[in-house]
Amino acid sequence: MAGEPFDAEEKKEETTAAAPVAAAATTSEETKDDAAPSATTAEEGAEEKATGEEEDTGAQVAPIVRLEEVAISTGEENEEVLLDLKAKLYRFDKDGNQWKERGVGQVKLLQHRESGKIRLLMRQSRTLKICANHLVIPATTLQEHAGSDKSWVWHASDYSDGELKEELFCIRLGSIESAQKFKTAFEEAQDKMRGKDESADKEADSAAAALGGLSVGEKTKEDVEKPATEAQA
Amino acid sequence: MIVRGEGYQAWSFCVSGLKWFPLECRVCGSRVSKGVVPFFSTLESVGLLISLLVVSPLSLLASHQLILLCDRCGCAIPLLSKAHKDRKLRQGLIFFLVLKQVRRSSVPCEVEMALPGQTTPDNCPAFKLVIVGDGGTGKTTFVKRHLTGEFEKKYEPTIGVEVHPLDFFTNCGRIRFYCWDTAGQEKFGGLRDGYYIHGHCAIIMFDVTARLTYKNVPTWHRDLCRVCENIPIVLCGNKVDVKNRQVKAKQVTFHRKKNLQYYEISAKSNYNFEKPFLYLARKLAGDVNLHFVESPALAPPEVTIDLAAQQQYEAELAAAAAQPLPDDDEETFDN
Repeated sequence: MAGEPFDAEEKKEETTAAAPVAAAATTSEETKDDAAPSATTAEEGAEEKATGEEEDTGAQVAPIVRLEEVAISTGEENEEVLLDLKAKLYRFDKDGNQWKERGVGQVKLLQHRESGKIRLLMRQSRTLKICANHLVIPATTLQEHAGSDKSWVWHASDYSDGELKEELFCIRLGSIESAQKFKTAFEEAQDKMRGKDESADKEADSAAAALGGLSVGEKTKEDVEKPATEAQA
Repeated sequence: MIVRGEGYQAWSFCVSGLKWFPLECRVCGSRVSKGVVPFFSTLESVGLLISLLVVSPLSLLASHQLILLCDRCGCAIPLLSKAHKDRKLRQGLIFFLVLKQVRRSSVPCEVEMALPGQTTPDNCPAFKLVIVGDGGTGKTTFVKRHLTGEFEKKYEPTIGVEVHPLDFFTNCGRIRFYCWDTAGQEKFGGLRDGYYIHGHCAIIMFDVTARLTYKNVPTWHRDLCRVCENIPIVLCGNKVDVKNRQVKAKQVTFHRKKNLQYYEISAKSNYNFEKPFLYLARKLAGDVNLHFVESPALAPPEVTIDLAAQQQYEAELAAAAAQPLPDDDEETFDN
């Protein structure tokens, strides 16, 4: 759990001796943490929290494996966060001709500090699993979803499962403002990639394209920076 | 009716049309030509070393009880399951099962299988998780929610069992649950408690909007405990998002008597949806501090999309954009 205090050494000592006690403590802590994001459930759910639903009433069962703490790599260490928003993602199921939920969580645009590549990465909240992971490429077009002004659809070669898969995604943001923010950031990222792709003799074209992008999107700090970087190239 | 023939070794092949193909383990993807048939019912009277079955779609339902344990990951492969209906196996299928009865003394072969799922082929700790409970309580929906993120509204009863691997990343590395999503409806029960064997942990699911499903919890628990002694079990009251509950949280007391952990969950709203897995992982590892961490996000490789493909995607996209989202009218969330 994010934000849960954790101490590696303490953990090893506790595993054998004080396990049941500590279990009760940790689970009740979590209750508070998690009550907020899931508040959308029935009111009764909230009310009944008080009855101590989370206390560990489980049996004293012997563990069957011994797991060692490992170094955690998110894969995002060398990347800069350009955008971080809460969103709900859907994928299009072609066989069933319908949208299906993929996950609710944080969607990020990340730029690699060395390669300069930008990717879209989204993780499911709480399990922190990946629901979208693909490079932002200039050829993609972000289209509006017919029924919602908070949603965008696009095509991507998604790498969530460690293999490339063609997907049609739809993302729904929490508000119209967030949706605009997402679109702007996404298109800016595309412009950056476009600038990166093109060779020096096409510089004029890329600048024109970047300007085109500018007129669509809202002006932000990065917009201002971009022409400068391209002039250097 | 069910013969517990733990001592059958099986080699199997399918023939469809003119093509032979070995069975593939749906879990680890390895080709399975040899494995162990722990129990089977349809062939019990044959008693031959070689059996030949000609299977028509109509008889699929009757023979789905056949299960082969993958000799690589130890997972069960229902030889003839619902899944085959929509596959290449649909048109007339001839199925060979070569059985060799192994003597009691050659039980090691079974013992090897006895701890299946302790690790995956790539050495990740794995646990067999049995999910039981009345029909329609949301077992399959819950598993699917974790597998793909989708929320399936349509009810399609599970026949026999469906096995799915489900991975989680923790501060102690990756772990895997092999989820045995069993049939809740009696008429589709298949092997019933035959599926529980070697279970490392379990979830008993009931529906808080249907009192009867809670009343049946003791029966599920009893059957489970007959096969799996002293494993961590989580009782889950599903569908807590529904306004008119029939089973209030205060009325849920069974877990206290039997030392189970109880969680109110909603596969629809994702309320507490990770808790059962987190609890079981902590118990199985004996580590109360175990928690989920970000799974490593590998750098996606460069892709080149040609113009024709690009145009096709655009066209598909335009059509898709016109389809409504599954829950368009529902909740909003803030940032």
